[in-house]
Amino acid sequence: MSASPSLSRRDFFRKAAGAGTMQASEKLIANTPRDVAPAPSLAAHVANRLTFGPRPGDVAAIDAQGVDAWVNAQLNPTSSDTPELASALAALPTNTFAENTQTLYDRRIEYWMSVEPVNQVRHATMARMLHSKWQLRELMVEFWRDHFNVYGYDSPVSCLYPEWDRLLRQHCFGNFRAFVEATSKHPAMLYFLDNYLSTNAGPNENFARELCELHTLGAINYNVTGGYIDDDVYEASRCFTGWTYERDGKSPDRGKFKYVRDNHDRFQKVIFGTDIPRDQADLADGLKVLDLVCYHPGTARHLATKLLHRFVSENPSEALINSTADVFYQNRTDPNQIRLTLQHIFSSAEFRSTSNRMVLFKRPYDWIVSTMRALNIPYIYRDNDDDNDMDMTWMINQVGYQLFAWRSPKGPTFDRYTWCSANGMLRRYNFIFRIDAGWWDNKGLVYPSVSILPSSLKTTREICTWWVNRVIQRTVSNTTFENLMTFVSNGRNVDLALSTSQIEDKVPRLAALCTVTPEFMWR
Amino acid sequence: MKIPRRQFLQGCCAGITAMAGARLTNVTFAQTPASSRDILVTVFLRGGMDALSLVAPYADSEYHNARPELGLESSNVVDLNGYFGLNNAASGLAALYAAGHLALIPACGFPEANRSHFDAQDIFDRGLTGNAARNGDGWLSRHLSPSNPMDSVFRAVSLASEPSVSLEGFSHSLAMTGADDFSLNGQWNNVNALRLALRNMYAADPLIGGVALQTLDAADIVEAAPDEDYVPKNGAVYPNTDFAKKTRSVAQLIRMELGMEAATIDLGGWDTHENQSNGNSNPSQGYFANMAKQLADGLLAFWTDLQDYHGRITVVVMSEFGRRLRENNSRGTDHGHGGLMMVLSANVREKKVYGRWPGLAQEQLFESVDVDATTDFRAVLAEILRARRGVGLQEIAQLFPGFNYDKNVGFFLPEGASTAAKDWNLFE
Repeated sequence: MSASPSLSRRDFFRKAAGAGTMQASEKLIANTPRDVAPAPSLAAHVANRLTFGPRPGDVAAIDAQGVDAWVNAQLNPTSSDTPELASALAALPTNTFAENTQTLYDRRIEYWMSVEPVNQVRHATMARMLHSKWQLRELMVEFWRDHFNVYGYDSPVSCLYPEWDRLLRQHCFGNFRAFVEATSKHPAMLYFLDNYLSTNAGPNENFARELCELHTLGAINYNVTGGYIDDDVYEASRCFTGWTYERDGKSPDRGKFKYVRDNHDRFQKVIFGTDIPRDQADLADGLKVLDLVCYHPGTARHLATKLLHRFVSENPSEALINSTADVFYQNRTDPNQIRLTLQHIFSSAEFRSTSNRMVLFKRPYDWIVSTMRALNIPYIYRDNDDDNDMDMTWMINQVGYQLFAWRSPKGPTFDRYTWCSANGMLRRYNFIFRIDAGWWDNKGLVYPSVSILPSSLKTTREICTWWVNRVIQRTVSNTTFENLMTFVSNGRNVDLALSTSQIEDKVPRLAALCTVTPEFMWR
Repeated sequence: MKIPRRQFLQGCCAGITAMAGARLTNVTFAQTPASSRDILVTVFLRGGMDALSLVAPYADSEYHNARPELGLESSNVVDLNGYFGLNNAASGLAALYAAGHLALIPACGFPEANRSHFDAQDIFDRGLTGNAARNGDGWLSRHLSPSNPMDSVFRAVSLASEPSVSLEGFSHSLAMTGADDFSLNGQWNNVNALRLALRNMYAADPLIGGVALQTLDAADIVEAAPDEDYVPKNGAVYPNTDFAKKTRSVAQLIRMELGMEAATIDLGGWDTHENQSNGNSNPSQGYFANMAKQLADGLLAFWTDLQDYHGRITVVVMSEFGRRLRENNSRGTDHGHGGLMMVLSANVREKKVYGRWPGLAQEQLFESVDVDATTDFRAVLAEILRARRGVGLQEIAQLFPGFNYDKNVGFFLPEGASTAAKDWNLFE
């Protein structure tokens, strides 16, 4: 059963070790006075929680617009976007986005051709995360991409990835049942979870298993009363036999969903105690399974909990889980089901509570993109530069993982312990310090620093205050601020003017250092 | 600022050092592991090592029928038992075998038919079979978890740019391509000041300060012990190869007593579909022989260097599969099934070739073409974990779900042999 035995065991150990872990880390710094930054303003909170990190000036802009109005706008994106995004996309290769399914599918023959579509989506996704004004949509696209994870670099997934990306964007605020039907029928999913090979002669249970365990009901509902058991998975896999995609290279429908009646198990099935009669119409068995799992209250609870983990805290209250699951369940046939659920979360007192601000550890892409946004580092694609490297991919991958290349159907976790590791921290430090040191100037990984510092600012204190406000956009702890100042002043009086050469020596490093402060690791 | 190695090591052994400045201020590691648990070093030969060319059934006529060009003759091998012989190029392994420290286990593998490198490596790295092997976490990760912030940051080290898949899911794994490669970079004339700022900022952070300080400590320690400062003992000479550089780094980390419990090393380049050797003019020379020599010499140097640690280290060598019995038309071999595992330890029971050899007659072959896998790879790992890492039977069952661990291969003397003898039935 795929990832579940080992992963759930690890989760179990983590939980068991949780209390001890906290004690140990408290003990580790027992002699150090506790000095944490004050909770940020509500505007700074939503700018960190509902975007990939504020660009300079974003927090003030949200404050001016009003948090409620800004959140509401984010939930209802329009077709207009920033000129920065338009020019970034114009500079990227995007020719595969306009190709139809057959043409995309035919690209699978040569490896370099087959990955061109997925690479182009990756470039465009980086540009959107950096520059789109509809940041919440980008976060939701990422949320669902991880939720319905497919490995993007196997053909034909790689070829059809532009379609897959459009599908995620189309449904990201919409109706969950419709979303699941779309993912279940897409060749990317049919291929990745082997359902394309599943026939009455040999049902493959991989898809049905993950549909229950990852996409809908969740492991919380496995082998519990009212949840699902292995027999339900076996029966569900029989219901999906014959769901495949057209693989005949001569067919005009190649690369598209296809139902092969002769490969479907036409006999009676029983799932969750519901009879599925024999000889139903084409697709009816599988669609019935999708109804049963998507409209199940356990699915509402699983999805509510997962959204709350991403947007509220690692430990959302039982009350908020219940009320969020209720909204999800009550609106299960509403075309705005997901939007309404998010609206409920974002308007809750718990989401806005000062104790829940900046308490989620940034995952690799949270940190990378927030750093690039804060420092105005553009995403640049170069077709054939000196190193013959195409883009910034390698440098960005170093910090965590390659976008769209997560192998497990259980996408990247939100779990702090996965990302807050020695390797993970070192990679963050080295990413920005190497950029600062000029290692990747030829890749376009550069940021402005001395050139944008207002010339009226001369003292260490003035300069540090300006950079903290610009990059971190919230009050930092005394310890953080004192150490930033010590770095700049090198122990001298922080209220004396610095020389030009001191500014040139310290300011680029100061900007880098802001992105690896303890404060900047959280969202 | 470079810490004198002597001063540094003293500090580490005392468990704490206090040094002013940007670098190491306190070592937050737990005590070094109890000597009753071996340090486990895994060596993964990526690409599918041709076991039949390393531990060759040179006395078997079926072998020579199938391998007219690549088959090793008696003059090409060091005889082991009249049937098997070790490729002359791997004289380092022959020395380890002669010392009684190297258990050779041919015909190892997994029960399913899978000749994909990727799938088969996942099966080995994750200790899982079927669909689970594609998605689960690593077997070493399951063995070492859970970790907590007080654990040594060096508990599990991969000598690579990324942690091994066998450590996937383990929060405390480090990856470094050499003992000098876990370093913090930055603009040259500010790098110490940047470090100091990080150290002081994170020291006050109640949540992630511990991890951040461990990161900085690990970088300081590794940087303070550059490769060129390491002097191997006992006359060991590490050849100038990628693999020996890695075994040397592992030896260095072991001698530093940093609380390392597991190290993983990869040696790639075994996917020998063509021109595997110089052919029947000299089947013990050429590409494969050079690879075998690199492996053997790197291990021999490591084992010679660490004589004073024998009894505290177990090395296990594996590859995702062996190769097809019949050589192909390009003087190479294609993907096969049963392969070789080797266990290097001072506690090896006796000098012999372990496991049940399935034979090479066509009806004895897996799917009529490949050496069968008569020893499950998990049986080898389980025996190591049980005998040398103190892992109980129940935990073994959790580590390797679906694997029925009912008997040992028998290459180790059991702890308290008389009472546990029942569980230690040999195959033969």
